[in-house]
Amino acid sequence: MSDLRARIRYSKEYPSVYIGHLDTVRELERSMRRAAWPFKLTSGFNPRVKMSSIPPLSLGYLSYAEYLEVSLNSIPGDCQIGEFETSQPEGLEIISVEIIYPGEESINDIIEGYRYRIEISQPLETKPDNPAVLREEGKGFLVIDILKKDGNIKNPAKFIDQRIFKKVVKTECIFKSKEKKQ
Amino acid sequence: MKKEKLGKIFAAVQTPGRYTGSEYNAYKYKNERFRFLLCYPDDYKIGMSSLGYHTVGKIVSSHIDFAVERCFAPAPDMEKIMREEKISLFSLESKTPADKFDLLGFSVHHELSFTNMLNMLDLAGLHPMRAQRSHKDPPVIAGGPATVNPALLGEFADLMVVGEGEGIIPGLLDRFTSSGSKEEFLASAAELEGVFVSGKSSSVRITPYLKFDDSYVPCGQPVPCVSIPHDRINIEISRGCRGSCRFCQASVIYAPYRQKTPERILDIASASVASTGCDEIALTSLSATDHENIIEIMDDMHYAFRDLGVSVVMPSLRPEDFSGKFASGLSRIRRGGLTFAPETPSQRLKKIINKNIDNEKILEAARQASLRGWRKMKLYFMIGLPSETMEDIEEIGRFISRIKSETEMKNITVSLSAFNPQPHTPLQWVIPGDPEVLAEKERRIKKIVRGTVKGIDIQSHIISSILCRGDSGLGNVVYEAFREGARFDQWGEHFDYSAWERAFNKDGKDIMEYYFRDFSRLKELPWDSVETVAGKDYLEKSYRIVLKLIGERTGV
Repeated sequence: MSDLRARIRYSKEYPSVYIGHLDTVRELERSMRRAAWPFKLTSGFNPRVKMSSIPPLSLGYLSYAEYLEVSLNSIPGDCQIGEFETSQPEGLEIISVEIIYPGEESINDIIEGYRYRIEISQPLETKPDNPAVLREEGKGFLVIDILKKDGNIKNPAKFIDQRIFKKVVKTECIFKSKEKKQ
Repeated sequence: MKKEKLGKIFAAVQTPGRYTGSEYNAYKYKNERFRFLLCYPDDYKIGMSSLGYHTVGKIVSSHIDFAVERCFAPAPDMEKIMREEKISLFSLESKTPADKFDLLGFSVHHELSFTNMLNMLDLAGLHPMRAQRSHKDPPVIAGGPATVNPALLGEFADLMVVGEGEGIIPGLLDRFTSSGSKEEFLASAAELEGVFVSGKSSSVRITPYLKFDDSYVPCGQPVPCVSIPHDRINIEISRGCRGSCRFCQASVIYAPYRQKTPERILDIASASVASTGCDEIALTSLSATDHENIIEIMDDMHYAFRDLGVSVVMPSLRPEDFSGKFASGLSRIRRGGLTFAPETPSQRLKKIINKNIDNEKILEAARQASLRGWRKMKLYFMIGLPSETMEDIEEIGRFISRIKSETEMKNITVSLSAFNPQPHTPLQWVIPGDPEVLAEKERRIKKIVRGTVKGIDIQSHIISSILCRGDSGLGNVVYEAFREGARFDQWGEHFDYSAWERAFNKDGKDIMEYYFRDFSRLKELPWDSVETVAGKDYLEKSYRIVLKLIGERTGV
């Protein structure tokens, strides 16, 4: 992506965990419009805001590492960013807004995988195979890393029986080693 | 209700975002003296698309003594859990049980949502029938287009706001604040113009709200957090209609024609975009291009919002708009499908229903629009019109073939509806079409039209026809239908005709007898208690013209 962009990191907690991915992205777009952000539009008969996000989070999962990138015509002012950060519905919170300059890699290019902390109702009976990596197994919880190189699979339920899930939290994105971890 | 319990419920239902109440701009309780629960007897997605619903929310929340919260009909999966877990109907915002509110207001847009209203009352722990509720229960108010026949709705609601609510609701709320009891409130409300109190009022007059330009607009309305059919800012640029189609209730109950100034429209649009962030503005009215400043309005909108990616749509265009002065303005609006409602291609029937859309103009519009790149077209036809024959039906097929051969429109959808005689229209005395004949006509159209045909749910049409002209004697039937499981009767996937059959049978009534009821023999119609601006004399005069055109003798 060669545009000037804003990289937005946000969290999803109750009750916004029950709002689907596309609806969440639309909500963020609306809050940018409320704050009159100088975003870039696609060309064509029905112009849309030019943006991209990381793969969708499953409904009901909490997350502290959701990312969205929006193309800009210019850098929004501090007031516009402040207004954007404070005009979110309950359960959506903006963690950071970072300006990405043309030529820099997009968020999807620098992410290597996702880390989840899962509260479980009973101990794990069988260990998951690759590509899911069981990073930590504690009393009543697991931490697993799912890496994109192993098939771009992002849902922990693909590796572990989700019937034992009590609460799933995406705690962070794992970035490629050259990149600064966020 | 605790967060954990709610979480479990939300995880078990479809589209839980409908129940979270977490939207941006959701209403907030600020210790106001009274709490008003604004109920919509249909799904969240339908209610949140309704301009009328949001407008009432704005009016009530503007009152210093009232806090508003919202509530919608729970979908069947949610209702099942609520009944199993004994969870009372609750407000979206604070999850407060509905019966704890001081007033319950229902925005009733259609008679097929009556069973949902009853279901919501029942889930709230209130008896659905007005007569069975006690003086301790909160008053149940109904508003919206369905109140123009208060006879049947009055069996469920304690009082109805009939006609345009802007001028009535603030005074009604004042009466509530100064009343010591439900009885005192109802007695006091009965004195207000535009209010019909069930069991107390004998008549009510629809009073047009003449300060239309300054009327309440729902800027800062809750922004839906799930996608909904009309996910946009609706701006009512005019009210009323310059036309006078004889089947149309809206042109009678929203008379006279009024419009907002271009400056006011732009102010509303700017405030709404800033407070909601929506990317679409719909200029709504019964016919948007009737507004005398429509070109100026469209230009203003285009230049004000183009950099924010906000597009403008006009849901109601007329064929003549595609040629002449408005044609250049079309490039300013979002290009969707081209939609017209000729109702019938038969000139004879057009004359009977007084629908002045010329077939040639539709053809010309299709030609002009196809030159500008439009390829999709949707046409609404009404079948079962008075004196309609199979020859009139054949004309639909010929008309569609002409459009296909003479224009570039390749994707044509024909959407059918069955003529439903509505109260307060000149055709209110007409007996609706025989369901078997309607089915035959529908089959014929599907055979002769080269394109997609969206058919009619004839059984749903039968119930809708009966209820819209229903009298108080049908109150028990609707209650029985609710008890038999009727819900979401407007939704094809949920509508259950057998529940209605059982309800009619239980009450010793015959469905078809009600359907074929001859209202021209009645001196008093169930909705005569409502006086419109046009008046019954005008309707009778217009009906006589219809009878003359059909060649029958007038019985009125």
